[in-house]
Order: sequence, then C-alpha cells, then structure tokens
Amino acid sequence: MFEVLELNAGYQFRNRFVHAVRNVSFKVEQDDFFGIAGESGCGKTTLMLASLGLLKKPGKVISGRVLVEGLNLLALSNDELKKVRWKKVSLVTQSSMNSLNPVMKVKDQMADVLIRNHGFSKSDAYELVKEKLKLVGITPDRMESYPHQLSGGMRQRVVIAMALLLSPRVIFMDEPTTALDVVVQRSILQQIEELKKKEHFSIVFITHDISLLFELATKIAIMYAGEFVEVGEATLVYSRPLHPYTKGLIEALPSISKDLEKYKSIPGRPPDLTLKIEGCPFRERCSFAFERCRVEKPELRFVNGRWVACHLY
Amino acid sequence: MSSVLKVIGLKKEFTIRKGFKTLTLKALRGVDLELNENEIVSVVGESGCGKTTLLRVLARLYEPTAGKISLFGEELPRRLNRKEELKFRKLVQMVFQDPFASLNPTKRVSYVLKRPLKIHRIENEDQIMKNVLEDVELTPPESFLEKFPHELSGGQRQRVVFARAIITKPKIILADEPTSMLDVSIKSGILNLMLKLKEEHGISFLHVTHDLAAAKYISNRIVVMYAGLIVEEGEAKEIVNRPAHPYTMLLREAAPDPEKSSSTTLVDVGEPPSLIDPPLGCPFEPRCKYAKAECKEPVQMREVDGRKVRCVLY
Repeated sequence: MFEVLELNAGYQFRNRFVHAVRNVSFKVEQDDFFGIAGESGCGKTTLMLASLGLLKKPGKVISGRVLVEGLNLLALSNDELKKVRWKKVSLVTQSSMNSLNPVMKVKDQMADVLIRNHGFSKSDAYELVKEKLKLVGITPDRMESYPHQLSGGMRQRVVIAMALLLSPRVIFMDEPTTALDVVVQRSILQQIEELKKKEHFSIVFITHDISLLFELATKIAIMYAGEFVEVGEATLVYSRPLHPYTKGLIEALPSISKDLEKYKSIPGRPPDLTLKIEGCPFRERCSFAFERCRVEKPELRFVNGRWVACHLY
Repeated sequence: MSSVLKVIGLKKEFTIRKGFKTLTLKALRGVDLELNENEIVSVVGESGCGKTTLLRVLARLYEPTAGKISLFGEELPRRLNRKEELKFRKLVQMVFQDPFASLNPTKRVSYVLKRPLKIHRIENEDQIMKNVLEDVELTPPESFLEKFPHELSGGQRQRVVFARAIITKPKIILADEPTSMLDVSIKSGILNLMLKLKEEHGISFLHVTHDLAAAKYISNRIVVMYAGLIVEEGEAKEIVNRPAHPYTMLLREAAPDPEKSSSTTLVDVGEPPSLIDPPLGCPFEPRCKYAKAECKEPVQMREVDGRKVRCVLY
C-alpha cells in the first residue's frame, strides 16, 4: 500500500553532504502500525520528510522511489502532490504548538486545505471539520477557538483530526506525543488506536521513545546512522533482539515493570553522517565487532523471522 | 541515617497580574520533605505540579512564601550574608535539564570547571579538574579540558555539568530532569553516574523527573507531587510496583511499558486543577474514580505500610 524503495536523501551544503537516509526500503500494509525508532540525528525525521516529498532545501532526495498505491510520489509535480497529500497520506507533526497557525481559528486552518486544494465549498468544509473534531473528542464549539485557547493535549488532537480530514490510508506521526505529559500522552495514544480500528488507516510512527514503540507498534524498524539495522514484528524484536544495537537499546532502557539491578548504556556516539562509512556503521560501539565488520558492510538479511543487518548472523 | 535536608510546610506563591486583577498562584501548598545522607529521592509528577518550583526554592533561586528549610539540622535563615551564601552554594549544587543551555558555548570545559574553584578559593586547580573529569568518566581528562561544548555529545555535555557540580565537593545535588533531553542509549549512563556519585562521594540527590521508570531505577525513595502537594511518598520500588494513591496508579498505568500484556484502557480525561483557586479537599478528587464525599475536606498524609499517602482510602 505504501512503499519506500531504496531511498537515499540528505542535506547538501556548499562543501559537504550529510547523507542522512541511506538506502532505506520499507513497506506499510493495510492496518499496520509501523514504528521507526532511533536516536536523535539518526535520520528518522529526514526519512519521513523525504518519503512525503516534503524535504526542503538544503535537503535533497538523491535516489529512490516512494509508491502510494502504485503512484511514485517523488516523480510528481508540486500541483499533483497537493492532490495526493492529505487524501492518500497525511502527517501529524512533532510539536502541535508550532504546527498550528496562532492567528487562525481552528476551523479555518483545518478547512484551508480542503477549500484550497480539494475543491470543497466553505460550508462543506466546516461540516467535515466538525465531524472529524468530534471523532477525536473535541466539541464543535471549540472550532471557533484559537490554538492558544486550547490545552496541549487538545491542540495535539486538533492536529490529529486535521490529518484524518480526508480519510487517508497512511498517516505519518513524528513524535506526536513527545511534548506532552505521560497521562495526556496515554489518552491520546489510546485515541489513536481506537481511531485506527474505526477508520482503517495505517500508521508510520516515528519516535525515540522505544519503550512506547515496542508497546504500540505491530512492526518495528530500528534505525541507526541513516540505515535500518533491524526490522520485524515488534514483539519478536523486543523478546529476542538480534542486532547488537537493538540489544543495547533494550538493555539501556529502564523498565517500569522489571526490577533489574543494572542498566547499561551504549558507549560512544553515532558516526558522522558527512563521511562515507566503511563497513558496519555500528562497529565502533559494538562489543561483538570483528575483522569483517571493518571491511564489509552488512546487508539486511532475513534471520529468525526478521530482517537484520549484522555479520553475526 | 541522618537527614541532610529537611523541609517543613514549604509554601511558594507567585503573584500574577491579569488586567486589573492580581491573582496568587499557589505553586507549593505545604510540602514536607526529608533528604537523608547518601540517598537519592525522586520527585515525580506532571508538568505544573510544582516539582521544579520546589527545586528552585531549595536552591534559593526563589524565596519561599512560608515554611522552614533546614540543612544538616540547622535552620537556614531567610537571608544569608555573602559568606554564608558561599558556604551554602558550596554544599548544594544544581544540575539542569538542558545540557546545551547550561554550558556557556563560548568557553572551554576548563573555564567552566575553573569558575567554581576560583569563587570558592580552592587550590590545586589542575589536579582537581582532572580528578572530577575522571569521576564523571570523561577520560582521558586532558583531551576534554580544552574542548568547547559544541564539540561534545549531549551525554558528554551533561557529564561536564555533573563535573562542575561535584567540583566543590557538595553534599547535595538538586537535579532537574537531568536525563530528559538525552537519547535512550546514553540516558542510563547518566543515571549510573548519579548512582556512582552517591556511592563514592556520598552525595545525596534530589532528583526531579517525570520518568517513573528512571525514578524507580535510581532512587531510594519516590515522592509523588500533584497540584503543589505531596500525595504519596515511600520506598521507590514499592511505590512503582504497588502504587497506593489513585494518582500514582494513574501515572503508573500511563507510563510506557513494552512488557504490558493486554492493552488496559485508561479512563481519564481530566486535568490538574487550577493552582490559582485550588480545591479545598483532595486535589485529585475531580479526576478520581474512588472519590467520595469526604474527599471534599482537606486530606492529611497518613502512614500506611511504611509509606505516606494523602488519601481517604487508607
């Protein structure tokens, strides 16, 4: 349904290129909850922007295809993209505070895209806005509010309602709850799951909070230095991680239900993405690294029910 | 165990002007807290519950409206003269949330570490600087002394902040969400560092966080705050594994947990009460599923199985 094929993207500066997304492919099927996890700077947001055709200068897509029901998003012109966006794929961004226009009423900014790009009349648009806001539990009288009059949780709900406007098949969510308190976060996530069941869309969920992701996602991809290092069923990856990075992340994670004595962090830091990486990008932080990791780059291979890029398997 | 910091009936009010009206925001509404020697106490709660205000009052960045603060059994006077102030700063240090903002970007690490030594007139600068860098596991120390903050990763920066905090050999560190800006892979490194500093240097930490899992991992005791009041207090693992106050239960259930077997649905749509006009009784009463008529009356802390809970259920 939604497919990214061998996507390479990054940021071009005058004398250097930050290769932030390296040869990433993935596929989202109907009703998937696809989670992408990684540290800051691993390229997860770039991947999202690139696969939606939203990457702005100095960002640049070098190669790859993004297929939405057979249509290559990256080959479309701007006008064609406008027709596809919101209808086939939509986006919930990180900080709702910044993604809503502070001087526009909620109803107007939601209706804006409908009227401008999808040929709605004003009254039809408001009607749809009302309906979608009800879906996320916001009463119609809030339509007249300005963003600052809403609480953080409500603002995030407005942004989710906006993404649902044209009932897209795939919704990208980039850390939709990071700025919120745990309790609010939980109620919004619950709502997302309910909506997903009701409206039958797929979710691509991007976050650095991997304990959250393991709990919610059906499929999970662990991203490191611009690449996917392990992709598979979330429960399987969590219970039996194969890649040393995934293992490290799980061991580093203070868990609320386990009474572990010691958590270990992963030493070192991710490699510089402006450089060409020889061998495995994780080898300098990896305790299992051996000669082959230095010379040969591991490819994703299907091992024990999931894809993993490591020479150990 | 002797207490290093003791707080009784601490209140902090802020005045805010709204048009012609002057309102008082009651950020802390009577907090009693004790921090013992060699202990990490975590204060947990949602934003706006007063946890950061508590820390700032204790660090003497805000003046309390009412209440007593005692340090090593001696009550701190409202005003300190310069000498006393200096002594206080030497014993009580702070670590902030954002390591990017709490280091001067134009100064090298050596400058950052030298300032407290100069201010407190501590001699043998070079050796001390090297020792503290080793203590925070930035080795070899020589290679870090001449670096600028932008040359360090987030985790290393936070370690420099910790090095600066321990360089005056404090007894207490007030840490305001020291790991919330860090990535998962290095978060536990900083938590382990706090444990190590507690063990090896006998530093007590008052650690403010919203991450219940991290609090459970490092702390001896957890204090749960809600709307300017402490609602539950007790041994860390006990509190997380068997929360007693309905608010702690809510926090526990809301926390992300990959081990969660079935998706239990949380029934909560409420918000914390306004601190300008807080409810007379239990602050959690409007959101609580166990609420009764008596919750409308002020509820006192009560001792239950070795912990303190502010709830009428016990």
